[in-house]
Amino acid sequence: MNEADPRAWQQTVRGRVLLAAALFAVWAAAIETRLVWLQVYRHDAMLAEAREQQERMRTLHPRRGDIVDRRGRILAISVDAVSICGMPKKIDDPIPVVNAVCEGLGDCTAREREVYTQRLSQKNRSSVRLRRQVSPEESARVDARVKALKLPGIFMEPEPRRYYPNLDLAAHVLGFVGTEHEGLAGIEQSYNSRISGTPGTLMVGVDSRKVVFRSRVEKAPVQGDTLELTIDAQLQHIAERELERGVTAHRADGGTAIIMDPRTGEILAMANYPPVNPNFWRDFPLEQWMNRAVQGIYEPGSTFKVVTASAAMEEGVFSPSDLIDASAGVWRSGSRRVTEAKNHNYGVLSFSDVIVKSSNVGAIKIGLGVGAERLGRYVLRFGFGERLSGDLPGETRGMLSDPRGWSQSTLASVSMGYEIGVTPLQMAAAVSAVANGGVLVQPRIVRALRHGSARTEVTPRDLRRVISRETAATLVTIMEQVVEVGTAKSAQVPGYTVAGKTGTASKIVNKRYSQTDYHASFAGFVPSRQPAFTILVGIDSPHAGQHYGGSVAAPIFQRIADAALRHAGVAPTINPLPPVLVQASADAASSSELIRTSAAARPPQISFVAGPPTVPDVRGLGAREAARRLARLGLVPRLTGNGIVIDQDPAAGAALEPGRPCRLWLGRAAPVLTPPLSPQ
Amino acid sequence: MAMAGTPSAADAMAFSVPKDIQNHPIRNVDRARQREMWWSIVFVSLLVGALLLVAWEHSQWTELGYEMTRLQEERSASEADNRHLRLELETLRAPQRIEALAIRDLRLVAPSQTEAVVLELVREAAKPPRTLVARR
Repeated sequence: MNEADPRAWQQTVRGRVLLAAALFAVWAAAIETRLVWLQVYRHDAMLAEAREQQERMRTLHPRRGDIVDRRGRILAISVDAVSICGMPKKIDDPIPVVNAVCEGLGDCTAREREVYTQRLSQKNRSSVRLRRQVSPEESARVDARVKALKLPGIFMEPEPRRYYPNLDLAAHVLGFVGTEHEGLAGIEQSYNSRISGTPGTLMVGVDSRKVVFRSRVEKAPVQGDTLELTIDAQLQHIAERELERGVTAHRADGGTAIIMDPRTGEILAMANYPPVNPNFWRDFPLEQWMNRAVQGIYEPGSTFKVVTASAAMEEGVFSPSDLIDASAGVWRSGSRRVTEAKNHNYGVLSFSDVIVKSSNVGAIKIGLGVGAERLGRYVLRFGFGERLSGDLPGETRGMLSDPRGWSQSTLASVSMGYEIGVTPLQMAAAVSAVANGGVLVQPRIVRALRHGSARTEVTPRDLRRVISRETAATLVTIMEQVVEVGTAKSAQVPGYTVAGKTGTASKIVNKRYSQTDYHASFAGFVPSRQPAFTILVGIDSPHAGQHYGGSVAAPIFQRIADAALRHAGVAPTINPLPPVLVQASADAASSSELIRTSAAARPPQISFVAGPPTVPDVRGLGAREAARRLARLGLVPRLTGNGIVIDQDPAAGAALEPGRPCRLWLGRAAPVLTPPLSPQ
Repeated sequence: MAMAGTPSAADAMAFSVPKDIQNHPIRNVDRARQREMWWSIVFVSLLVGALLLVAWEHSQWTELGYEMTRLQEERSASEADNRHLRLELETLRAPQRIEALAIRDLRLVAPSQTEAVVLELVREAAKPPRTLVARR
């Protein structure tokens, strides 16, 4: 019998193990070869491919800077909004998707539904925007609706949106931004490069689920500057409220009002009517966006007589007491005939009364006395014919012909404020020059630029001295007379001295001076001797019967001035109440000037004139007498020891707080007396 | 049944196996090899430990990346909320709204000239030194 070798299986196993090992070795070698191939030879290419799959470059949009008023109240702010987008390729039937979106939005028009359906039908486009810059609440509603119906192809894209929380307040000054977040009007446009900032880039690593697991800022974005305006939101509201009231009452086409600090040139309010809302800027016609204060040219009429008078006095041609013959109430030059307002005949007037009564004939005679060359020089000195601010876009130079070419008729017209086009801002700046003692200060609306924690203040800039202090002081006196006894009695503010000048100018309609359309204005400052505000009010085409500056614009000035003075806490200048003595605060201690209250200031702490009550010195007194004195002042005496008082706590001179315990140490030895604490 | 004197197969098998097998070999400890073995174990342990550390670090790094992204998103959302709240606050503080509420709902009116008086406030002056007013 041929028996099997009992060790044959070992040979078989060994052979198979060797085969498996060889196969494993081949497999390992293949793997290693592949790894070497991929990781060594194709290292760069594979790295690039991996980066391409994992890394995304994202643009970091800078936040557009806020615009705030002089007290830090936000006038414009950018917040995150959402754009609702769709992917047409993923949407087979757009109609139910559009229905869901519109149900979420809640305010879709039929036209919008049609547009959305059309956009979602564009299969050649990867994504389309349905509605831009919706609020988070609206987008959440749309998202919930779409998810509830399990509709594909709708997604939300974050996008900033500019808001103006005060609606139409200072809208013409602020302007607005377009859908691409670029400034298109107002301060938003002129300071766009500073507010908008610079975008940056961010590298993000995403996993297979497109979830970001790492990020690296490649280029940091530069956030936009915050713009601090000279505007005071409360004063702006006052100006807009009273302007609207005046324009509505006089059924005028429009109007403007400017409140300015005559010493610094800061524009505290710049109101325009009719109003606009920058949140819905498309709803208003473009011409309604015109900022009349800097873009509206008008013939100033009699307010310009201030310039004529300044030139005459500064050049020594006339003094306030000189007499000027305005008899007959008419001035003729060839075929031209100029009469007084309301066909007055003032006869012979003093130089001052020419301004006070606003005599056209008198002003012409003053102008003719000064001459074209000299008057033209003063017109230019006062800033007419030049852009004064530059902060606001579209600011115009006005219209001014070369004085060397002025005829006698033109000189006569300019003397009484015709044949010259000025802006309300130029007129306000000119009156401010008179108010501050003769210096033309650059009007400005930007107070400071803030970048992070750094604040760069825009310093006031004196353009030039226009007239001497003496001439300015004389003009102030004359302009006070205008308000007290002249054409602007309705500009009087009880308790305050007011200086100003009215103006009424016929508007040119169809190349002729209209007999029905006028521009009524008043420019003045208050309190006249230490002015806090220059206020200019201009009303375009009042149609309710009255059209004179004294009856249309002056009352608006009066209401604005009254409210503004109260808001700023300017004390009356006529028969003022005795000042209230207050405890010196840390802020006030550095100032030797009088403190003014204001709506924004802290409530005053009124204290006793004789100083705050203090703890008396009872050392050396008997226990009974000391306790009696302290109890009389509301303190609670606590005695320790026997004898007379040798020490006390609180010490003498400390602030008295009724109800507080006062410890007294008694002893037989006489106390060492030290001077009491000085009052805090 | 096995016959006497004739050895059976089992007995033959029993005799074929040595009765006394010295199954206790003397093990000589090879110190050098033992040392090498321990070094190998330590080396491999360190290697594995290092690999595990690297893997753990990578995992932590990735986890922290996710966490950082989540926190950044949280911060952005908080900042956005903050700005929305500021917007809402400013909208509620708008002067025209406050004035309308005061006049319409609270029936307030602007104070008249006699009702609102602007007081000028002055600081308390330093106390003058004692002076002799008169002497007889």
